[in-house]
Amino acid sequence: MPHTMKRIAITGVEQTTQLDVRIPQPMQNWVLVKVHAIPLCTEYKNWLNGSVYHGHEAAGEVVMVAQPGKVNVGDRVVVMAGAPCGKCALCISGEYIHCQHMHDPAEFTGVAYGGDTHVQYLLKQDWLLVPIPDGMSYTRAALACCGMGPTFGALENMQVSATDTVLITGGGAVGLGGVINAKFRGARTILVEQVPYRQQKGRELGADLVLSPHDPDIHTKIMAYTDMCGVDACLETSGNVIAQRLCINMVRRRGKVSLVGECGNDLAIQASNDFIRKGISLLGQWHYNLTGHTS
Amino acid sequence: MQVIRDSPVAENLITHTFPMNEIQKAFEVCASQECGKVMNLAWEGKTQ
Repeated sequence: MPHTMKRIAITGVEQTTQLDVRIPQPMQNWVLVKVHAIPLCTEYKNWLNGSVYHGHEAAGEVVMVAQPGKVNVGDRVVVMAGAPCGKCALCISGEYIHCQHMHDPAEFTGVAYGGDTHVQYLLKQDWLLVPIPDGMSYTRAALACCGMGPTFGALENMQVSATDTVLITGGGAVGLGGVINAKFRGARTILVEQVPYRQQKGRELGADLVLSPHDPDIHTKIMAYTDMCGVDACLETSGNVIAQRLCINMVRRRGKVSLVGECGNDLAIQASNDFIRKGISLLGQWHYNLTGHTS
Repeated sequence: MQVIRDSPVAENLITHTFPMNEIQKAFEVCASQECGKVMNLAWEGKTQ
């Protein structure tokens, strides 16, 4: 077992370096995971502006534990994000991502980078490690993080089925993962995305209708595609206020909208026309319920 | 995990894979938006 490992760090605007750092030691239920796959999420935004980042997605192998627990050395696992308390009602019910009592990983790992995922070894509480099926690669399994996780959770919450039409706004990795999840359920899927590469990728993954957000007839086309009723459910993954508004306008009466894309800007909402008279549900979705990770 | 295991197109979400020492290239691809999911591998390339 080595004593040091590589760690990625951003050192300035569009600059990175690899540091040799000490491998943290497991303690209590924090086990040591040898990282194999590191999916990239929004860290490139930190890279673009030179700010500190930590990473939150990984898959790897358990290589050391401090005490008997929920995993064993040799287990192949997907690493869930964050350091929730594991004791509150939200954690116990599987909604750990919303825990109000997140730990500072440094308190348990002894190092500031102890909770980072852009490393060769990391520490994680054993109950936040999802087993990988035999024969599945680490990279494929790692899609159970942000690649396919948040949209899976949103479609579960909205109870989307094969009789539904789903509007997905934003064709980044999360939105494209939403296409896969929606098509797996048999739903008709509309993808709204402006980048041609991602439009084509959406088609490859099964999107039935792909539209540009700049299409002046986008409302008409979506309504025509849904027999003038509107879509049954929306996955908003772009984090763009215009796309959020499109979802609210395009969802049918009694339909559901899940906001998945992070956004710090305000969305203007009118209670009567947007909600009361349409009877829609607007849901926030960060990840998925951990108790349902096997499905 | 069932969707990831059973979907015939799940793997196609991964469009780029880079060794950890090529993180610069990985971030450039992410920023270009000409990608789906981008993966880094912690133990391939010069990092071994």
